[in-house]
Amino acid sequence: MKFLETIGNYLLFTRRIFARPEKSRVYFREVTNELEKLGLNSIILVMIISFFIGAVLTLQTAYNMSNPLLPRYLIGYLTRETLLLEFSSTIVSLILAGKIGSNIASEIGTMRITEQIEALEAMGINSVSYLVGPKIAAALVINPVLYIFSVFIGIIGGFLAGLSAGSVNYDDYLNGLRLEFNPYYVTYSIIKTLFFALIFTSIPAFYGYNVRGGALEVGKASTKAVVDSSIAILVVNLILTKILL
Amino acid sequence: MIEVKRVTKFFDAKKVLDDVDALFEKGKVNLIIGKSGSGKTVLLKSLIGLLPVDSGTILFDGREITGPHAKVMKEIRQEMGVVFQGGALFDSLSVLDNVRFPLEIFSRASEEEKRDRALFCLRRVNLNDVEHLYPAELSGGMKKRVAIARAIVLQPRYLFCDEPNSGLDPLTSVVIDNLLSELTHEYGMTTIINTHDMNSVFEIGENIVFIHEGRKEWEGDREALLRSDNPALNEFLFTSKFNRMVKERII
Repeated sequence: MKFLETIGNYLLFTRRIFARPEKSRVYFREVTNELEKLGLNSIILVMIISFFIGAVLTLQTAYNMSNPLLPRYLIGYLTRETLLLEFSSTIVSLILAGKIGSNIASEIGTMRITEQIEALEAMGINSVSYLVGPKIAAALVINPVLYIFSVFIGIIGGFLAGLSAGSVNYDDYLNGLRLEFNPYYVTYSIIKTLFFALIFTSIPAFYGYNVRGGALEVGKASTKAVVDSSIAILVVNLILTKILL
Repeated sequence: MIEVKRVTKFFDAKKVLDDVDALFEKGKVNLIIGKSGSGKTVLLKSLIGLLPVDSGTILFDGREITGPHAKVMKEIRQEMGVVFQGGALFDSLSVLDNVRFPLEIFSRASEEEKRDRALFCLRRVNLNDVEHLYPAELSGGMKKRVAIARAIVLQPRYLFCDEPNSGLDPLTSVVIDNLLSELTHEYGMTTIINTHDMNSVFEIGENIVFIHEGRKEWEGDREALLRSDNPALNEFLFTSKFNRMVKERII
C-alpha cells in the first residue's frame, strides 16, 4: 500500500515538473548551469571507469579465448558489443545514479529543510518545475553524450590493454570492432540513456523534495534515492530490452 | 490591510487553528505572538498561502485568497515579501543574485536597473560590499538583512517575517527590529511578524495578536498588553521575574 502511495505521489510530482516555467530565460540559464554541474563534472569519472572497464573486458575476453580455433578479432568484437549494448548505457547510468542522484537528493533536501523551497513557493514560483526541470533537461542532453563518450574511451582502453599485454594485435582488434556492426544498437542504447536520465534525476529529486526533518533525514533520503533509482534503472533496462530488441 | 475571518486549519484530526479572527493594519508592525506550537507559524504560512486553510476567509485589502479565490494569490504574491526564520537564502547564488532573484522572475527592467535596485536594497539594510559573497560566508545577522533586502526588492505591500530574531544576539536583534519597523513606516507596508521575542513585542509591536492553543486569545496594542488581565497572555509574557518587574515599573 505504501509502495503504491509513493508511486502515486511520484507521478503527481512529475506532473508538476513539466508545468510551464514562470520565466523561460531564467529556466534556460538554470539548464546551462546544470549541464555544467551534472554533465561536465561527470566526464572525468565516466572516462576513468570506461577506460579501465574497456581494458579489463579485453583482457578477460582474451583470457577466455585460449582455443586456437576462435579468431582473435572476436576480442574486439565482444568488447565493442558489451560497451555498446550494456556497459556504457546501463552501468554508466547506474554509476551516475550514485553520483548525480545523491547530489540531487541532498541538494534539494537541504533546500527543503532550510526553507529555500518555501521561499520559492512564497514568491509564486513552481519550485518543482524550477528546481527539477532544468536538472532533467540537462541530464537528457548529457547522458547520451556521456554514453557515446564512454563507448569510445572503453574501446581505446581495451585496445591499449590488449596491445600492451600482447593479447590482440591492431588489425584483429580493428576488424573485431568493424565486424557485423549494427547501428540500431546505438539507437537502442541512446533510447535507454534517455529513460535512465529521467530516472536518476527525477527519483532523487522526489525524495529530496519530500524530506521532512533535519540533516539525518536528508542523508536517509539521499541513500533511498540512490537505491530506488538504481533498481528502477535495472527494471526499466529489462523492459526496454524486451521491447526494443 | 489583511483580514482573517474565522480561519480553521486541521493537521489530520488535530485542530491547529480554531476559528481565528484578526486584523493586520496597513503601515503598522503587526505581531503574532504565542508559545511554540501555539499555531502562530501555521497562521503565518496560511497568510502567505503556503498552507491552505480548511475554512474561513483571508482578505488582502479586500481580495480574498482562500477557497475558490486561490488564483488571486498569484498576483498578490508579487506584492508580498517574506523573511523566513533562517533567512532561506539560496546557497548557490551570491548575495547580489539572491536579492536580484525576485526581479529576475517578475521584473521586465534591464539588467542594469535590476542590479541597481538590488544594490540599493542592500545599502538600505546597511550592507555594503557584500554583494559578491555567498550565504555561507555571512553571519546570522547579515543573512537576515540580506533576506530582508530580498523581501523588499519588489517594493511589496505586505511583508511577512517568521521569527526574524531567532538565533541572533540582543544587539543584532534590536538592529533587525528597528530596520523592520523603519521599512514598514517608510514604505507603508502591512508588516506581520511572527515572534516570541519579548523585546520585539515592546520595542516595535504596534498591533499584537496573541495565539494560544490554536485560538486567538487576545488582540491589542503595547499599552493594552501591559494592562491586560488575560491569564494565558500574562503567563506567556510575565513568567520571568524580569518581565514582571518591568511591567510593575511601567504601570
